This record gives sequence, C-alpha cells and structure tokens, in this order.
Amino acid sequence: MIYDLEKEEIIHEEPEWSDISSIVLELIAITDDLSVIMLESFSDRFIIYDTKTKERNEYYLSKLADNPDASFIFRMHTSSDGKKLLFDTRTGTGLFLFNVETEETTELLPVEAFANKYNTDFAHEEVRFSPDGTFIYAKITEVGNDPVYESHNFINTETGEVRSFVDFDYYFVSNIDENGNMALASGDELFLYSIPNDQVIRIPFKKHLNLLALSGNGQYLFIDDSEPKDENRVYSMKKLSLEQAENFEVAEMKASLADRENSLSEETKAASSDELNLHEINIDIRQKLTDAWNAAENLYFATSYPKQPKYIDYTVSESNVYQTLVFEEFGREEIEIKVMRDEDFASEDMCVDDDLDLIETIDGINYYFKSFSSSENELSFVIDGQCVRINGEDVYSEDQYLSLATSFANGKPLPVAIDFGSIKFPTVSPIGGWDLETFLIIYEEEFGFRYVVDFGKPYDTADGQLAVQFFTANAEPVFYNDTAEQVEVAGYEQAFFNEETLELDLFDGNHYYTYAAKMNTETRNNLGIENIKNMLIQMAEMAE
Amino acid sequence: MKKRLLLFLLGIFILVGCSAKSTDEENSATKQENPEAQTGQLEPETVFSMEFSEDYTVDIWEINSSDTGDSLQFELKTYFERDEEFFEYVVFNENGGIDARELSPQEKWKKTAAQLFYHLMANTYSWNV
Repeated sequence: MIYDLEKEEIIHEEPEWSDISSIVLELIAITDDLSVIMLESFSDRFIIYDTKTKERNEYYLSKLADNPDASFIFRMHTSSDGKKLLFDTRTGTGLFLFNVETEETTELLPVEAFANKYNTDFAHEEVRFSPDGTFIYAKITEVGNDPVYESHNFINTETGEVRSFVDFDYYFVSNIDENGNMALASGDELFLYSIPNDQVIRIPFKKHLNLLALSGNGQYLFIDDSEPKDENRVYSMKKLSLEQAENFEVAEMKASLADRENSLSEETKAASSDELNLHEINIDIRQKLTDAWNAAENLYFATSYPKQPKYIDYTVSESNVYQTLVFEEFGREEIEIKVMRDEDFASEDMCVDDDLDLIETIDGINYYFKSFSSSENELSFVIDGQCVRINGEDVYSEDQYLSLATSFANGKPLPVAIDFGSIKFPTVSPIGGWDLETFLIIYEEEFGFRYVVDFGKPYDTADGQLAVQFFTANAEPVFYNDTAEQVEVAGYEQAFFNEETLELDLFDGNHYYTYAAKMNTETRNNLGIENIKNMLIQMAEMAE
Repeated sequence: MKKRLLLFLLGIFILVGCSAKSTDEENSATKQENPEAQTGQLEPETVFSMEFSEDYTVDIWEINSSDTGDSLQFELKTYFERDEEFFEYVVFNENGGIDARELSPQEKWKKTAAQLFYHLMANTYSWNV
C-alpha cells in the first residue's frame, strides 16, 4: 500500500506480494514514479519493483560489484529519482555506486590499502549522498576508538574528483543538499561547505549544536535546541533561513588537504623493542591481594536471605566488594550487592540515585527503593559510612529486598580464606615502579578463585601508553584461544598467541592464564607485534 | 538526597511556529530583544517544541528535512525512571508534530508506516508535502 500524504489517500495497493524472504525485506524508498526499492536484511540482495508495470528486478551487490566481500549491505542510500543507489558495506571493502539505468557498479574509496598499511580494520562512516546522486561524503576511519588514521572525503561522481581532508576540525556534518552544500559544525560555529566550489562560508549563528539537517533545496538549515524553562526543559526543532547565503562571509577550511597516494606510501615508524623494557616488580602481589581480601571482612554484608540463593559469588576490587546471589544460573536470576569502600560515596547524596524513593527508616538508616517496569529493582542505603547498592530482578519482592538490607552486619568473615594454589604471578612489569592499583579477586563456589591484575591502564591507552592485563582461572576460560598461533613458553604445557587481540593464553597443567597487551594501533605498529609477543612470553616465563 | 520532582510530562506539544499563538509571542519578544538586523546573526524560527519535566532525559537525533524544508522528520528517545521510549515525529507545514505511527490509516500498519517514513526521509528527498 502506498499512501499519499498530500492527497491523504491510498494511491496504490498491492494485495499480494510473493517473495521468499518478504519477512526480512526493508522498504528503503518510493521514487517519484512509484517504484519501490527494497533491501533484504543482513544480505546483499535488493529489489526494485515498478508498481505501474509490475516489473520486479532483483540484484545482488556482490555479483554487481564482482566482489564476494560485498555480501552484506549495511546501509543503502538512494537518489531522489531512484536511478542511483549507494551501498555502504562496512566489510572493509568500499562504497559501491550502482547506476540503475546502465547497471554499472563503481567502487568508491576502497579502504583495503589503509587496512593493509596499518594492519587493522577500516570502515566508512557518516556516509552522505546528495539528492541527485552527484555528491558523496564519507569518513574513512579505523574501526573503534582512537583511530590511527581517519580522513574526510568529498566525491563528485560526475567528474570523479575525490577531495580528502585530515585534521578535520568539525564534529558534525549534515546531509548534502541538491547544490552540493553541506553544513558543518565546529565549536559553537556553523559553516556551509560547497563541494563543487571547494569553498567554506560561515553561517552567522553561534551555538553548540548536536544535529543539523539541510532542506533538499538548501534554503533552510534545521537544528535541534533545548533550553530550561522553570523546572522543565523545552526541546525544540528550529529552522534557519539560508536564503541570503551568498552574502555570508567566506571562511577557511578547518582541515588539511590529504594526499591519498602519499598518505598510503608514507613509512610507519620502524618497529623497535626499545620501549618494551620489563621492570622488576618490587611488591608482593600475593600479600597485597590477601590484605585486600581480608580487609573486606570489615565491611557490612547480608547475613540472611528471604529466599536462599543457589550459590553466592564474591568479588573484591580495589574500591568495592560485591556479593552476587545466583538463584538460576541460566535464567540470569541474580541479585548483586555492592558495598563501596570509597569514602566519596559515604553520603546519601552520592550513594543513592535520585530516582529511588525513601521506603523505610530503621535505627536511623534510610532505605531507598524503586522497582522499575523493566523488572529491575534497586535498594540503596548508607550504613556506618559505607554505601550499599542492591540491584536485582524480581526474584524478591520489595519487602524481601528490605529484609535483605536490614540483615546487614559487619565483622562477619568471608566464607573462605584466600587461596592462590600454585598460581604463578608475574615478577616483571612493562610499567616501571608499578604498584598494585587495579585488580579483581573473584571467588566462585564452583570454580574457586580467579584473579585479574592490571599493569598500566588497559582501558585508557589513547595517549599511546602500553598496558597488560593478567588473568588467572582454575577452569578453562570461555575465551581460551587454542586455535591461535601455538608458541613455546618455558614452564607451560600449552601456549597460544593471538596477534589480533595481542593475547597470550597459557595452561601450566593446573591453572589457565592470559596475558593481554593493550595499546592503540599506532603504538602497536611502532612496537611491532613480534616484540609485543616476546614481551608477553618473557612475562609468563618469569612468573613464579 | 535530591528530592525527585513530580513525575509527569508537561504540555506535550507546544506546536508549530506560525500557527501557535504562544510561540508567536515568544518569537516576537525574542525579536525585540535580539533583532537580527542589529546583531547580524540569523534568528531561528521554532517549528516544533516539546516540554519535559527535568526528570526526563531526552535525546533527539536523525533530523531529516523534505526537499522544500516545509516538513521534517526526527527521532526522539526519552528516558524516565530507567525506562526508555522511542518516538518518531513528523512535522508538516501547519499540522504540528505528529507521531509517525499516526500516519497510517490502519492500526496494523502503524509500525510499518513509521519505518517507511524514516527510510524515505533518511534516504531520499522524493516527497513534497
């Protein structure tokens, strides 16, 4: 059925539609001459159906492009007349432009050369297509955070010109209008960039905005806005007229023109092991972990349970202690109790989320609770300067959650004494002067103790720093990678190195270990994968 | 603990600029205080607005305009008490903003209507209202 919004009536009905995969067909566009363009989800198949002639043409992008990698269409863009289709495959290949009339397919902005140069995955992001299909914008970037390289590319499909920029100081790019203009946002300034004229003009309007959209004819720019009003906030869509754009001031492009050929031929820094010095560890890791486990005994814990869990797991980190009550292992029926040692959370202001309600005050302790419609429950309170947050599903009623909370007492020993068995801990670290700062001690009734120790900051490597995460387990971990490259490591029965994840997985006959190197792509390329592998092997061999 | 405000959604629609008296008045006041001619800055025209209690978190994304700029579509997600709701609005010339699901004349097609509208706006400019 096609409904005409202007006439407010149904202008076409298709009572029957036969397609083997109709349930996964996405309706992409209806052209002015009432052709319907459909895409089969999670595949490369698309259909153009002429509702007037009933002619149906099916296409497979991988065949059109003669490229088996183009077997998944992530997103499809169409020109207004439906004659040009642009495909974003996100498979590390390229963009593909399909001319419906000539049935010619052109690959644009291939990323394979970048992937090969930097030895990492690249993709196209923020793809834009002008209404008549003449102009295209796409960002080429490494997949993930802190990309080693990214460029912003403007394509004129009629002339074949590709203009690429790096150091692009705009945080948002709009769609492209029919004249080849795009709105760009930088700081609190707005600009219009003309792709055919390679010219930037400043829009006389200042505000930091999150969204921009040009009307197809380029006469208007839509922006979103929000402002406080009394105790509320007003969210608005606003329209700026660009009818006087020819009078706007010309501005400089806040980006550098990139030479795609040269940027690909530039040498990366030669691999060096100079920055991979290992330093002797001068602290007793076992003693530090033991102290942390024993210190948890001074915290408050639940002492009785309205409904007895099947088992209780304990996790001790540098700042929190967790009790996880597991009622159904596979049904995810769990309640997590988090006791925070951090004094910053010792007040109700910091400990209790604003959306909880005060339900009870007992012996001077305020208990805050909320049951959310998503079956999530939260109860929080502060006891003796310790913040307690209990999160769980509808395993307990509100009264039972309160009963659990009021059973809290301190000075109760943890159920087991810490045990290291024959686990071998690192004796050297890539971080000089390293001290134990971030760690996890995990005790599971079924599997015993597991340990995680961080060397450096594995979740903050944007500044080029190197980090290593050390894991141990008594049972084979889910991600134990015995299909990776097998390597020889003295003191271990099995050892596998995965050069994509930079992880060394080991088994010494009693325990499983993982040494995971963490760094950004630039640092990895500078250090060299072989050097990183040797560093991890050295750490493992020197562990005791 | 910060006291939670009364939880209700206020004044769902304060509708489209040219037809809504209150918005006209606000625009008029703005013009007097900050006339475009004096500052050289463009003055935006409000085409749609919604007012929410501060207890709501509101995200707006994916604005798409028609060819002429007479109409636009956008997506809006609200978070309230950890529940999220997703809306897709269409603003016509003088129709105000309506939930895209309401475009369908038949109940069973409401979801499809909203999805179709998103695709049409995101991928083409082939419609004019």
